[in-house]
Amino acid sequence: MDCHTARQMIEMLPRAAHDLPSAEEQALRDHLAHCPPCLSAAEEVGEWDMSLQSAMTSVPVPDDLHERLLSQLARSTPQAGRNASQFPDRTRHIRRIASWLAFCLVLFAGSVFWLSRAPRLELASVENGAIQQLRNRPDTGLAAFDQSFAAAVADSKWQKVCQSSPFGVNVDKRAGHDLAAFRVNIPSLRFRGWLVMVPISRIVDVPPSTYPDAVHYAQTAAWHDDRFVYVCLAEQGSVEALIAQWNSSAA
Amino acid sequence: MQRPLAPGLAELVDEHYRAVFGYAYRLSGSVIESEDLTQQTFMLAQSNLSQLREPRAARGWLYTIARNEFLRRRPVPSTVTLDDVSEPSMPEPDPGWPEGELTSEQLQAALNELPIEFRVPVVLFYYENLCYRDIALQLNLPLGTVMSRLSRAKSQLRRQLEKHLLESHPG
Ligand SMILES: [Zn+2]
Repeated sequence: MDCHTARQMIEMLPRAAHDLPSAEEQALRDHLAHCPPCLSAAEEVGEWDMSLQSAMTSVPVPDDLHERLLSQLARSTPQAGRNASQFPDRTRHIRRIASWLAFCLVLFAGSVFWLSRAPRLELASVENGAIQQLRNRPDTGLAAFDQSFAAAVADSKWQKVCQSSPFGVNVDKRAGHDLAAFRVNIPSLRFRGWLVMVPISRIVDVPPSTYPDAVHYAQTAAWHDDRFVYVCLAEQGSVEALIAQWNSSAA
Repeated sequence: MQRPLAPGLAELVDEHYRAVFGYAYRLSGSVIESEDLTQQTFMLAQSNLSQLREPRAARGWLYTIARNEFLRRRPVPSTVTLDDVSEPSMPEPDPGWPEGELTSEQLQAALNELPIEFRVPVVLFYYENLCYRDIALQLNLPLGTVMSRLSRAKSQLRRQLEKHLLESHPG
């Protein structure tokens, strides 16, 4: 090994040493044993790494953050706690009527909302749910989509690369699937991943784009058409490369 | 209205909120955004708490939620450029590490100058303490891309920090 190669590898030390193929690691160690300038460069990189790591993890935290977090979370807890309230005796029958009316109202509103629409989801929870439940999981462990909505991909390019039967993903923890997930496998582009779809009415923060050009760090892209919000999730290859390829072949 | 938290959530906050805030701060460079990201992270954790099966994995799980949320808010341009970050070359004769402790603010100023594609792996490496392979897995990037981005990012970070340190400790 020459000094130039050694210096390039030293840049990745010290924690990355075990990421190197062992033959290269051994070659580097042999070089350092016989080259004092490279050894001293390696030691210096080690010191710099430690100093950077220690500065990186010392971040001052606002004093009241803990309290604010807990109170914010308590306000957004999905299940309400019940507080028993004490009414005077003479208002009891009024309270009973009020309760009955409230019950009827809740029943009506409940039937409208529960039967017609499930709670809306944030895009982040869709993406996180899909990542947690799909990425790098064997297909055999996944459930077939329960057809809770008519999952039909409109775009012909995606239609061609989606496998025919979708799997189902539950995000909101209520019964039934929230997302339909199509396995996408394009060996010619070395891409493997998922196309996930959810009715647009279920999403609080619909992604602005109607085409998957907004790619989040190559791992996911999110977009919408008039009926669905789509999320593409890469397992192998990158979404940005896939889309760039499609764009260039369309041009 | 204040309601009881989901079981285990308060403990999760107690144990990890400082780490999650610090992580969000190193990624975003803004206290306000980091507070927001921290809050959003625990809100998402609250609604997905059943996904956390192994308590020891909690911190990594929270980091992943925070990072996804951070990246979701910032679409990255599809071509990655870092014009002024060159491949590492044979170093100049070494002037030695400048005197003086590296402060949290100096580091953040240098991090903020890195494009996101480069800043994120740096934070995963130094803050989350992940090895190259795990960074590649987490970011769904080829190992070679991670190695090259980290190497270039480290060189730029070092140049920036040396400049800052020399300015604050001249001579
Ligand atoms: Zn040498």
